[in-house]
Amino acid sequence: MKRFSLHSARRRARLYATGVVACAVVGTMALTASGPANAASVSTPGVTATSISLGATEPLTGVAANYNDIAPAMKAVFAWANAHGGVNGRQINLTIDDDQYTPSITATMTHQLVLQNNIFADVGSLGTPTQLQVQPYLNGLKVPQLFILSGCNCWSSSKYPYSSGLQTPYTVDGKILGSYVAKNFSGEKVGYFTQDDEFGFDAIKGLNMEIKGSSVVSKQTYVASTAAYVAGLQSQVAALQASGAKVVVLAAIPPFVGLFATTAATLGYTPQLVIDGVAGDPSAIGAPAALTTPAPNGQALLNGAITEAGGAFEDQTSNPWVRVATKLLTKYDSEVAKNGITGDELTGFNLGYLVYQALKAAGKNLTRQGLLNAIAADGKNFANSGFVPYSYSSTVHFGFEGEQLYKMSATATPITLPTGTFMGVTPVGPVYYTSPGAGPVKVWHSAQDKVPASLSSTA
Amino acid sequence: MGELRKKAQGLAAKPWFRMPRQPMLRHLSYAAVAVVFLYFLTQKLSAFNDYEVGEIAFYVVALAGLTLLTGVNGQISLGHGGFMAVGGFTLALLVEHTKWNVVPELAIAIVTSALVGALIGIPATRLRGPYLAGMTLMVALGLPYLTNQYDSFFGGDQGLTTPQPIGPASINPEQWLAWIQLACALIVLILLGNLLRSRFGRSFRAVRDDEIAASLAGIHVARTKVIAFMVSAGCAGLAGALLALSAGGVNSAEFPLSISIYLLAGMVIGGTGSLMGVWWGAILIVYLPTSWAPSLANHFHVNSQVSANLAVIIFGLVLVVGMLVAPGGIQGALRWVAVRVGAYFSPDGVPNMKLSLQEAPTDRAVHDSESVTQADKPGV
Amino acid sequence: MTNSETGGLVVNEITVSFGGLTALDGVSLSVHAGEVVGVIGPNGAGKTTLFNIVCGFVRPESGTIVFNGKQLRRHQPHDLAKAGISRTLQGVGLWGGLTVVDNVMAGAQSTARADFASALFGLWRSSREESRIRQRALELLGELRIAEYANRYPLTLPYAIQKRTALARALMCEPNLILLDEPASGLSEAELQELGKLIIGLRDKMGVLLVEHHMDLVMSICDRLVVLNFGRVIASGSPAEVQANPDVTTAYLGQDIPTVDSPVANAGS
Repeated sequence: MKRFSLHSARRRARLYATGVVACAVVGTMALTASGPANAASVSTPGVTATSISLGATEPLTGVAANYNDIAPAMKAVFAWANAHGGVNGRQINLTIDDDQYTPSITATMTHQLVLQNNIFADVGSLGTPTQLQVQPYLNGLKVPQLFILSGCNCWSSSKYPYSSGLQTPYTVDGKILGSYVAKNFSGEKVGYFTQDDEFGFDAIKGLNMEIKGSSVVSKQTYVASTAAYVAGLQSQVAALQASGAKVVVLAAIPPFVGLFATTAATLGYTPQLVIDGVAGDPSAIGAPAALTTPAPNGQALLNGAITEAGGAFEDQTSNPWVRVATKLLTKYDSEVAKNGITGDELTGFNLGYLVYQALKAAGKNLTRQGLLNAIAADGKNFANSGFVPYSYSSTVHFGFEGEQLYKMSATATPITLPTGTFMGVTPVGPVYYTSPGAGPVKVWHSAQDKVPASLSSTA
Repeated sequence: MGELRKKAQGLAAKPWFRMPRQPMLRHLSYAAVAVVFLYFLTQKLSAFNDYEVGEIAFYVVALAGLTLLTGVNGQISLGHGGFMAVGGFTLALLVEHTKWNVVPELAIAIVTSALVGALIGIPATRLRGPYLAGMTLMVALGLPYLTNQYDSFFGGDQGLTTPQPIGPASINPEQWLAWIQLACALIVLILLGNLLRSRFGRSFRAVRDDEIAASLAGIHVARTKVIAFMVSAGCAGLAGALLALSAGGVNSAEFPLSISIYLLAGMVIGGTGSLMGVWWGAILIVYLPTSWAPSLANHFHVNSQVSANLAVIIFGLVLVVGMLVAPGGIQGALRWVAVRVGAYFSPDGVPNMKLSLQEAPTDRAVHDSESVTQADKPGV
Repeated sequence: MTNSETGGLVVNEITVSFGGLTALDGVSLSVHAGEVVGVIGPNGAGKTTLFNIVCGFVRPESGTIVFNGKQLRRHQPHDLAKAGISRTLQGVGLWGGLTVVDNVMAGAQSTARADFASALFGLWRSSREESRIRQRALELLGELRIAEYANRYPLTLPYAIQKRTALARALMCEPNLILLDEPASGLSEAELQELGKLIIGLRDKMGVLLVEHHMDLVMSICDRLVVLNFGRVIASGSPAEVQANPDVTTAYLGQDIPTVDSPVANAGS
């Protein structure tokens, strides 16, 4: 009989185990539950008489954590606005959630922002794969998904009218670089080195519109992963070298541009580099300021590389936008107060100020549709630090569509940051603008916006 | 304590309720209890928490399939994220091109991913261990990538939209979605429970433990493995389709390799081969990366690179420590405790622990219930 | 051997080699219902290869295998049970993750009819059949006097119990022929006695072909013996005849190996 008692014990065991599972599920829920969210209010979600609730998902940690200083700078602009009466009498509350640049976490965090934080709009969230993940959800609920920090063409689509990007579309980046290459290196053999995802694909789309197909002799790609970085770029660089490309256009993120340069240096390959604006900052690539001979780290290769940027560099302290941003952020962003301003923080400042102006333009009677209408109507007049105006319209949902070309130069004034001193840049030619579709690359003649007095006097 | 023990022993000697032995009836009665419980749970929770419960539910579906394949049939898979993608895209394509109800759409998502599972499962019958892991890894990496290659069909980077199903106006959409997902989870658990208590479940385990002996017993080894692969891929496909409903759309970035890895880790931590243990794995997969790990990182002020990887680190640590301390996973550890508690109150005194706990080297949960049914019939 | 054309197993002139090494060379033997045939020979003589060929694990280069009048061609191991042939394995081959009774139940795989859908939906069709198979498995365990271990996991049990479990599993498909691969290994003297009785008992229902090293057992229970050495049949016949054969003694003592077929090779026919 003994064995049967053993089994009856085991049957009970299973019942207990089931019970414990059940209890634990309840416990888990109870711990993480925070009471029912506000029942759907008649008025606009996230907007009260005295406040506006906004949300953003950012890679505060993880592979893209180098961008984690953007959102705090945006928040600092809101702190400035709140200290000066808010916007139309409402205080702006921004919730920043860390999505670790992981789409599944972005989905959960965005649901949390919408369902629990009851946000009015999602603003300035970063990343192409991450924001793609929540695009249908936010659009389905008609929650504005504005000023996305990504240059994917996908933010401007009639399917998802509540989305819009901020960064220059990668195709525009590609067209502007491509037209420069076609003009200045005509007849030279050209090679591409691009990221194997929509960033690279979109950039190639733009490059191909400007560069003759017959002059492109090699197209190499890489996968943006830690493993690929560790594995190195020997084969890609060697293939470009073997193809005889004298000009290499890189649509790559900063670490891979740096790796490309050092790899080319070790292989004795010295093409003219033309670098997409995503890696347009020499400090992000880690290009050292001082040239040593012989140049072992590819710095000689970077010296003279052509790149592009949509606005002033943070070291251009004479630029009024850099000055006002530095002043405001030093007051409201402890990180800037401690370590000085970075390019990302300049981006965050510009982003925050655009959001502020958009909310202001939407007026006292704030609704989601009203916000979109206001941006479509007034967006072109929003003052900002970009070289070209904010280009959002009812049909085109991009932020900026222009770039200033720069040359990285060892003889330019070096960029000095807490992390080190880096190669400086000098502007090359005029500011160009174009759209991601067909159509020529044109010169933009107007100067940068003036800093509004209301901002410069209160920052 | 002695009094209590006597009382409990008296009760246990004359059980006042006995679960039916017929597998469907038995599993339906478990499910009925779960339905009542989950109904009140979802009523009580906020919309966002309901959304999370829904996430747990679809991970339960995926994990149940994986535990059948890996725990019960002994075939490792790193490719379940890929099968989830198949299910998700199938649902999205149906939403795009038809006006059907969500139920047939989910059914077709299951069938499609099961068929893809068969395609992968047939060559997989000749592989084992690291080779099988490598091949299934290609599924996880390759299938989502395919959708990028035919972007006019699969919607390119943006992918396809899968609107959240809307129920009656009185029920909020998150709760409605959670119900759909929970219903799927319970149905999957019932059906897999039935299957594991049938001759198919026996064949799965026999093939896992010794293929030669299995074939001599008349079990078609390759066919059995392919069936397990199809059932498992079908579950993953359903999970992917349910995930798509939660996310509101599908795109290739939605099913990264990390999903496949999390599933494998969640399965092992919950208890390999245990259909109850999958709840633990699912809770972990949902809460660890988004909630627990970030709070821990905040609390201890760890640096950004560490904190982003904290969830993975914790998964890894729990996996290693768990395998040393509790090879049966969380569910196994609970049973270990429960057997001791149960034995204390058992009318016949303490049974031989050593035997009852070390007998089965793997996969105990559902499996045990078979021997229990037997124990109910001492007269035979 | 009057019914050699219709009943039992007839292995005819089987030859197989592995990488140039001839494992079996023109081996013939037959087993009929109600007969216990033993295959003996020194290590490496080809006994297990012979079993593997019958079971379909290895394909012969030439020769035929006929069972109950039907030739087995390109048959797979899992087809055997349905055809009425069972086999136990040398290393027992029980499934550690299944209880003893489940191990035995799995032996009825070839007779189980429940389809996938009825199993998935837990229909009566499946669950009734399960009860029936369980009933039968328990009966068999009872017959083999190991019913008390039904719910234990086999790898924790004494070797003799495991061997009986494996035998019970092989009997579940109600075979016409059972192949026993070294059934006596690892058993004590008393257990051997029981095993002998058991095997003789099987004779009522089926033919038995066994490979065994244990000479006392083989001599006492086999109706006929086939002696293999270096892949060839060097002798066959009743235990007494084989024992008297000088070639057999030579082979077992490791002396000169006959290079041509012994004239007594087919003496038993």
